[in-house]
Amino acid sequence: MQSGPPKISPVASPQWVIDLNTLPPKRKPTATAIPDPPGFSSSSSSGKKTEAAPVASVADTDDLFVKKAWEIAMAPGKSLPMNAIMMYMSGNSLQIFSVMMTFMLFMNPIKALFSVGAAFEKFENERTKGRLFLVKLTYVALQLVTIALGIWKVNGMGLLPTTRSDWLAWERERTPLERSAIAFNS
Amino acid sequence: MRLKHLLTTTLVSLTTLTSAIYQDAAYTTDWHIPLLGAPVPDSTFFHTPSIDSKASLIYTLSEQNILGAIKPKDGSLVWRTSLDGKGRGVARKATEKVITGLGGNVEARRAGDGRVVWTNSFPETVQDVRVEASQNVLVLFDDGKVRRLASGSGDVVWEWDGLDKSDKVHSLIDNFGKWTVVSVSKDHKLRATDISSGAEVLFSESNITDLEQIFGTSEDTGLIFWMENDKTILKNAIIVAKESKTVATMDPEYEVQSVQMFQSSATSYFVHYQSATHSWLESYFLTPLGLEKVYNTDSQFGQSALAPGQPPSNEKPIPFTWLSPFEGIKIMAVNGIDPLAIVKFNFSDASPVTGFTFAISEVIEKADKTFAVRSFVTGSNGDTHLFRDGKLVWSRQESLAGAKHSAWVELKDHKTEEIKEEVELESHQNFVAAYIHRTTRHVQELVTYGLPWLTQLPKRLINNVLNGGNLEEVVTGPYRDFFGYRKYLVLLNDAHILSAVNVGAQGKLAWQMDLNRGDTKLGEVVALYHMGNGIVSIVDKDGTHLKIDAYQGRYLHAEKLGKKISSTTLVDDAGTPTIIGFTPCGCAVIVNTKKALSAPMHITIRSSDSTLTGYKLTTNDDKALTWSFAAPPGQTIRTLTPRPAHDPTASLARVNADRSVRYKYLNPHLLHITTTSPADNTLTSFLLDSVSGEILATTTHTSVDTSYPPRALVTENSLFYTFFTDDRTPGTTTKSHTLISTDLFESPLKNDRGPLANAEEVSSLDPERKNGKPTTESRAYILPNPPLALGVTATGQGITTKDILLYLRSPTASLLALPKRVVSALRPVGREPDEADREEGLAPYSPVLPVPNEGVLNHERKLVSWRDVKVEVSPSGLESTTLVAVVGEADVFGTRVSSSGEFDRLGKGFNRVQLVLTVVGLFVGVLAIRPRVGKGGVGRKWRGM
Repeated sequence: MQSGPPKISPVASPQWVIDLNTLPPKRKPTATAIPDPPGFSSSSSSGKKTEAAPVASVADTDDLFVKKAWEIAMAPGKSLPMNAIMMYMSGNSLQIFSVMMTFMLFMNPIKALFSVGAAFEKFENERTKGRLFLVKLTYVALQLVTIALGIWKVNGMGLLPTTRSDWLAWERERTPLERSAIAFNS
Repeated sequence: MRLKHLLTTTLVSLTTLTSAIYQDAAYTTDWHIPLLGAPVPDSTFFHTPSIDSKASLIYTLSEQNILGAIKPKDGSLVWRTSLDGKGRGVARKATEKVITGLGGNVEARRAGDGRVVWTNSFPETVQDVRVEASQNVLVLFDDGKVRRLASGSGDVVWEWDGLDKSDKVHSLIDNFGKWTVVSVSKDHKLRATDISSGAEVLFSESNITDLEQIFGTSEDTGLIFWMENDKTILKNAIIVAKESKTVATMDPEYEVQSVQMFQSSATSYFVHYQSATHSWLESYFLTPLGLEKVYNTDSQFGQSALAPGQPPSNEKPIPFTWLSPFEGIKIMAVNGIDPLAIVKFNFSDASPVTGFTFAISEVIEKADKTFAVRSFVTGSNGDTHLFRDGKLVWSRQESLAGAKHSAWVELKDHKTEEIKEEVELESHQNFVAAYIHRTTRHVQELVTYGLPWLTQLPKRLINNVLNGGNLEEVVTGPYRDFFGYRKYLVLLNDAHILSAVNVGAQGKLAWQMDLNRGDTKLGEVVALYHMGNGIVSIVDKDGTHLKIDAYQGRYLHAEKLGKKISSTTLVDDAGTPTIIGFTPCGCAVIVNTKKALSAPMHITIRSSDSTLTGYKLTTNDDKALTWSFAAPPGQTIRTLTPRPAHDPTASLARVNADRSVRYKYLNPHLLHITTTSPADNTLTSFLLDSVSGEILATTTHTSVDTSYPPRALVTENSLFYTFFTDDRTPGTTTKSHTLISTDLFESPLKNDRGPLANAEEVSSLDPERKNGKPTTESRAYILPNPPLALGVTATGQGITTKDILLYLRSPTASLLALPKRVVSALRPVGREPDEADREEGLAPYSPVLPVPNEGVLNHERKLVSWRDVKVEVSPSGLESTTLVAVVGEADVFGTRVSSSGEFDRLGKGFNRVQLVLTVVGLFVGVLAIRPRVGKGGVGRKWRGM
């Protein structure tokens, strides 16, 4: 964990720097000490990490980046079933909760859509750019699916002007071409 | 849409909450003028309701055949009832009873409460009723039959039928204990027939053509008075003497209109003359040689009335009261040949009496030889008044009864009235000049009204907060109020009394005109229209056209068209209200403007009992027959109903629960007709297009009692009609007053606007732009009581849901308002209502209509008006509220109906104090919290949070 850029020793390091640099030695598990709980293998994990890190190639890192990016891209998809159930359960009546939930259902994907670049920024470099395109596309598609869910919900609530009655106010009574009157006195 | 539905359902549930009537909400917006109508002279009398009571009541049968008892103390009604039957009725007093005869019915009612003691019906028409001393009732019928009815049961005791059948029957008199029938023979001679012996006496030399020429038959003495020779010779005859004598000869210039004769004592008579302009009194003494004039008053200007007091208990002469506008009330008596004016009371205030038409008096001679007199007077307009010792105690506005024609008059707006001329000026100027004029006008207004407005502001605020904001400010004169509740309802009755009642001020009389007194004599009135700007037009059958200022009640213009008019219609011709009249031969006359129409007009007239004719009136006054409608053989047209003149449509379609729509069939030429066929007991409903004459829909109902008049109502795409079902099929005997509710749609399909689809124009004649026939949905309902008139609320824009107004006859009539969805033609039948029906507010169909208490608009008031009733509606200034008035043979009733609640007005329960306190409290709170919040913010910033 001491690897990194070469250190320039400060003239007078603050206490925390000194503390950080002189971390207490790691507890060495010994056979005589308290046994590890079953299933715990400190040596394997720490050992792997300490060993893998130095050997990680650029390609591996990129793979990892893409893998991570896929995870992020798939996240909205994972929350879709939950959202769908919530929307179904909240009912089609116009109440503060259902309205707020529906509002959030629209807000989050729209926000996400506007910040697609930012979401994948940390995984993006010259090499991963091409591979991330598909990831981003999936991400956008899943957000759109979430929006579609929202639209389905709004439609269920009757807020979409999709029926004839919504456009009735724009229709006009027909103009009669004749005039008539009844000359009849009761 | 869902939102709209939700709001509607919420609103609907709210209205059901708010439309419940609480005690304090009733009788505030509604008003009622209980009326009897103008009294009939010989059927009006003072009478004690029971033998024990000392106080007497005034009993009167009116021209409208309403019998009532009035308290002489304050003019309130003890009881009243509308008698069934046509023609002119008679009422007579009997011990503890009042006997009435009308049509073929003779009824005895308890004098105390008006309950029927007995009733008997005859096929003939009652001409006269007399009560014998034994309390048995003698009834004279129009065919000369006389029947004696037992006092207790009304059963016929005996019948006499000895009169010559060609005679015209006049009256029944007591000739020294012998009942004598007075009639006019076929050759126009006066005949007296003694019913006990059958002996006949014929009188009169010259002819009597009119039964009204016989005016006086004196009880007990067998004297008959009549006039001959065009009302210039007054004659009399003592039946026993069998010869007639001329009493007086009058100058034809006097134009004597009426003569009254009264017996004052055994040998003395008073004769009262009324000419067109003057009146006078003569007194006669009966000598063996005939009548001798002993006294006469000077003829004096104006109408006067002579009224007998009580019959003498002993030999005293009957005290008479003579009421005249200048002389006051004179109590007179004639004994032998000495006429004497005993007492004279001057009128303290006789101004409300327009002319003494007739009077009845009650004269009491006190122990100290002074007199107390109560006189019940009928004025020439029909109003009645009571004078006690010359002092006016009360008046009743009977002149409002019997309104045959009515019209709403919109009043002027204070705000626009002042600037009317200025605005007119601006509209004629060029743009810049108008702009400058307008700006200066506004500045001037600011200078003139700004300061007073500002100074009034605190007062208004305080008034608004403390007095619950009573915005129904007191407006006087012909001006509308803030909410548009103030309107005049102009009423015209058969006696040609034109009255305007202020609907916004509990029906207060605004003005009244006696059209008989105008220079232009009016015949039978055909129509009364409000032409806008406070002008009312009256057209009569003789072609007289009167224009009247409806704000002040003044004549504006009178003209003779020179043609007889049988029917009229009011149309809007390019912004000008135009009356089109039709002569009996079917020629069209433009009554008011005398100009040809600006565009052709299709007019439907009723050409006979069973036919209609459609004409096209072109711009150059030519007329072409376009169509004619003849009811099937044996059927007559009973109702003829177009859409109301004010019938705005807010929504083109009915929205279903699934947000689909059904387009309404909105045809401005819709004409609904019902015809009945008495032969096979059917009623047929026709829907016509009044331009093309095409029949759009027909329905025939069987087992209909056609003697009961059907009623009909059309509004937007809905029509309602009623009839009496009398099903005599064995096993299914049904008798019910049926209301048919029908809705018309463009198409049976949802979201389908019919064959014309989105075409912008529709023509009834052009085959390419012709609309199809409507699809109908109908339901039949059973009404709780017989309907006498139908109406529907009308608001400014037609947005508010409609209430159907039913004027129902029950023991006393009531005005019932039912929401249109209750009598909807779409209530689910034969299935359980589903979610959609519930959302639309449609209850499952059940034929019997509920009568919710809050729907009875007259509350506990008793409306008595059974004939010629009309429910008149007019939109108020608020979209939520309709002004409703019921006019008819008697009562005038008015109220305001808010069928969806008063959604555009703060209710009485609105707590202004609380609102103001809340706002002030919040303001103070903000002021108090503000510095602390500011300080906290700085602190947070300082701490770097």
